[in-house]
Amino acid sequence: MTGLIREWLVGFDWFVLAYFVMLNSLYLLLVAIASVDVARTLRRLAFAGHDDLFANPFTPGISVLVPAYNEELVIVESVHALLNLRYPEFEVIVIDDGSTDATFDRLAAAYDLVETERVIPPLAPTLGQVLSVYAARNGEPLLVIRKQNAGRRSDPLNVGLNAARHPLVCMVDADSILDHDALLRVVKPFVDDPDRVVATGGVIRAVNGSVVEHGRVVEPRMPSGWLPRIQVLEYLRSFLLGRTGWSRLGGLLIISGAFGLFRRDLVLELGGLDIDCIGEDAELVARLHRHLRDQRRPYRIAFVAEPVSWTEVPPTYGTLARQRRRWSLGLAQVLRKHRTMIANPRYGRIGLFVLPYYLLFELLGPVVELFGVAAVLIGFAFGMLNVHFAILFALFAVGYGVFLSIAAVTVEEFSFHRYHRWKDLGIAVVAAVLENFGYRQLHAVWRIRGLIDSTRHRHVGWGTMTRGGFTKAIASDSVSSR
Amino acid sequence: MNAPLPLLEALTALSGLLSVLAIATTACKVQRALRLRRHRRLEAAARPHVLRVLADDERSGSAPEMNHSLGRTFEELSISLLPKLRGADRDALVAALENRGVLERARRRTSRSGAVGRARAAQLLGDAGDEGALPGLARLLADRDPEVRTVAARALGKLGPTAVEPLLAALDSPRPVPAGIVTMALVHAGAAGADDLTQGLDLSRSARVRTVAAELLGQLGVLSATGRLAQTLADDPDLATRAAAARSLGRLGLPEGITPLLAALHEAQPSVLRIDAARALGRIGGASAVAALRELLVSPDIELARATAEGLAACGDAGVSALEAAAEAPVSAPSAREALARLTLSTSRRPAVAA
Amino acid sequence: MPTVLVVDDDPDIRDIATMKLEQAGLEVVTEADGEGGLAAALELAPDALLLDWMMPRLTGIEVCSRLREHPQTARLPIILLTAKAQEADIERGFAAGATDYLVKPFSPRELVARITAVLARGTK
Repeated sequence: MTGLIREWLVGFDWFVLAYFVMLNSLYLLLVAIASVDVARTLRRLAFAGHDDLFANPFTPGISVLVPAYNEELVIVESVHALLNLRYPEFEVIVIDDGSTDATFDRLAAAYDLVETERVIPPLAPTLGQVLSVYAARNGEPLLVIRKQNAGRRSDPLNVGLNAARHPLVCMVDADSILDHDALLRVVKPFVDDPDRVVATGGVIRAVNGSVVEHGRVVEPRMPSGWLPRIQVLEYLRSFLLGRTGWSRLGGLLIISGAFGLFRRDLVLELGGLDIDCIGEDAELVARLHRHLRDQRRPYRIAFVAEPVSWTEVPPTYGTLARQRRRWSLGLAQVLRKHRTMIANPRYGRIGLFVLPYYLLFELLGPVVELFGVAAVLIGFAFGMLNVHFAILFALFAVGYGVFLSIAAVTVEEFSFHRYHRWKDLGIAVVAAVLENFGYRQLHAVWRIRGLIDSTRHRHVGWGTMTRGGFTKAIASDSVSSR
Repeated sequence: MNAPLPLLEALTALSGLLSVLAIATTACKVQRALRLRRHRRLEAAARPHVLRVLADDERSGSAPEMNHSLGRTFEELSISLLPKLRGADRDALVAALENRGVLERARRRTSRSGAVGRARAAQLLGDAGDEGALPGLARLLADRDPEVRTVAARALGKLGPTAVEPLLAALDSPRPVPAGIVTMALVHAGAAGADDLTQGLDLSRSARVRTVAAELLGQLGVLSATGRLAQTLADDPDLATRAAAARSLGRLGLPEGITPLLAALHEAQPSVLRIDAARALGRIGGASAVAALRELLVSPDIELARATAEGLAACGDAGVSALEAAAEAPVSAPSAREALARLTLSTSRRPAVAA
Repeated sequence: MPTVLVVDDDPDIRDIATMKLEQAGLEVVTEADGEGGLAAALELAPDALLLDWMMPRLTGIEVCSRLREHPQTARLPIILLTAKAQEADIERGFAAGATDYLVKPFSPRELVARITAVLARGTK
């Protein structure tokens, strides 16, 4: 019996090790590609022509869609920042998704809103009924749509999509702060390659702890708790390296809903956002890939590394756990919905590389990781602990993880260097190490729960995220996440 | 696993890599801080020289002695100011840069290897409005690197009407420049480029060229092209060109455009054309425009109805009364009411004219 | 000597405008953002205001609207100097109460001519 267990353990040991070697080598490859790409982008910034885009009447218009549910603390500051973005032709459409707090009242007061008429063609299907529409009396290109809540984020987005007047739409969270010329940067691929580019995405970073004045991130800073600090690192690693690396390889599956620019006509052609999917933004991109490849239309989805959307990350374990669980559920839903694309050569690199990657590594990764830990514990319990394996596992899983995080910090320092204080650099390095001792394992548990949720078809509700405004750290513990 | 794996080696490799990264990051940060301080110091020293150039307003540009790094900073500062200014002051900066050989170096770099270098040179020459660079920039329109082509197009656009022909030609070259880029570049060409653009409407030119030309003639306000554009709207076989012609006729606003626009509103015409024609008619105005637009408010095509309402809102009192009447009827009500609401908002914002 | 208040977050613009206006015999005070500009305009009562639009904190349009609400600055000549060049922007600028609207890239010579003209009209 012990022989059998020993054999099983040995086999499993090798499997887990091989898995992590593969995964981390893939990350390494992406890091390398991303670094080259970032360097290339920076060199070419001098002649990117953003100022010319700003001054030109032919720069395509953008409709910025902001779904808002109970965002009274941040909505005015957020809308003010959006309206003052550096872009020649755009409108901001706030869709008040049946807020029960003062979200609308604060907007009405700040912008002297007056009820108006707006034709909203029923192009993308929507659930909640539109109640009323408002415009700003002072001439700002702001439209506020009040509608009934339908329980999911995709509904207000579809309403906004229908109401939008410009050829490009940007979907932004109410609590996100975009860089001042983010729109100019993220529109550039559309202008340079109008026949092929169908969507572009920018970077997302954690705003916690940064100095925000009048809706502009004046000085990025590392936040004060270790949990948000670790998340800063996660976002850095994931977006700076993962997205850029994938984009070069033609992957770019997920443009987070917090910051993506799409061609409105194409999104409508697809039928808008999927009402049933929680990961509606990732699902949209997957559907875009599928649709265009099915039709054999040449296309490109680009990632622009510099423009940032700053977003508040959950500062407490409870809210964070719920968020990651929901993300995992969302990913599982997307993969299940589009399972025919996986390993299907008809879908090119998306089908053969990107989706399998997300399935095997992003979705199932935590399972393998926890089994690896379990294998160590079992070995220990049976006195068969293979010390070699345990340490090697630790090295590859943990050490490699630390290496990747620090590599992200290095690339960031060489390229965009948004964090100026030495203290922040030090914190980042410590966070990179700490992340792998405890947080990673917890994160794996949360993700597994999300995965399990998907098998049970459980629908995790929206709920609210308690906010403290942009500049204050949040101390409350309440309710479920956004 | 029984075979001893290279544990120590793996550990050493990892620590080695981590140290390398740590050192690189620290070194980078330190170097940047030092460079920034130095740059600030140099800029503070160079700034008065730059201001002196602007103050003198002469083209002789008597350059005071500056050591190498100060001179470089002076040049960088001047270059950064170029896109912010125009007129005699910008010319003074350009003259100073020319005297220092900066522009000559840029002109030569347009034919050297290194896409980034070529693009940067093109950007500079465009910002400087250096007409002597035209042949070099025109050559870059066919560069291997698409971004260099784009930068060259933008730069050429800033050189004035002589750039029109090469830019239009770049639309159809084997290494083409996207139509949008050419259109955006030519916005700066000014009305002096009218002749070349009007020639671009000729059926002998490609559809892309005709579309861009049609779009720009309106944008640049070339009133004399109205007749030619009317003809293009009526006769051109390419839909995009006709739509651009419609838009331009609206921007130019002369009544000569009304007849072909009315024809373009016809049911048999493609929807995108009818929409542009409706808006254009609104910008021109007049009784026949109002009459024709009023019919379309009940169109089942929502976008057309909205464009029509928009057009009527721009037609003064006659348009407004047509909209008010339509606001009562069920089919046309939404678009009419939308246009009326927007009109009310914009008039309420206008500053009151002093009695 | 008439005073011109120059409000722009771009130090280059501030420097160039200051030099050119001083060359023309005017006294110049500068501010680097909207809030400072608003306060200075109310405190110093300048004879003319050169105002950028896109500034952090308070935008030029907001400064302009607020100044028009105060009786002492309701008639202050305000020249908007901005890179926002679309028709709708120009309309909004004037709707907010601007006296004149200059688009960047701008000609400093032209700027001086316009400001001195506006000041001359004011003193008559």
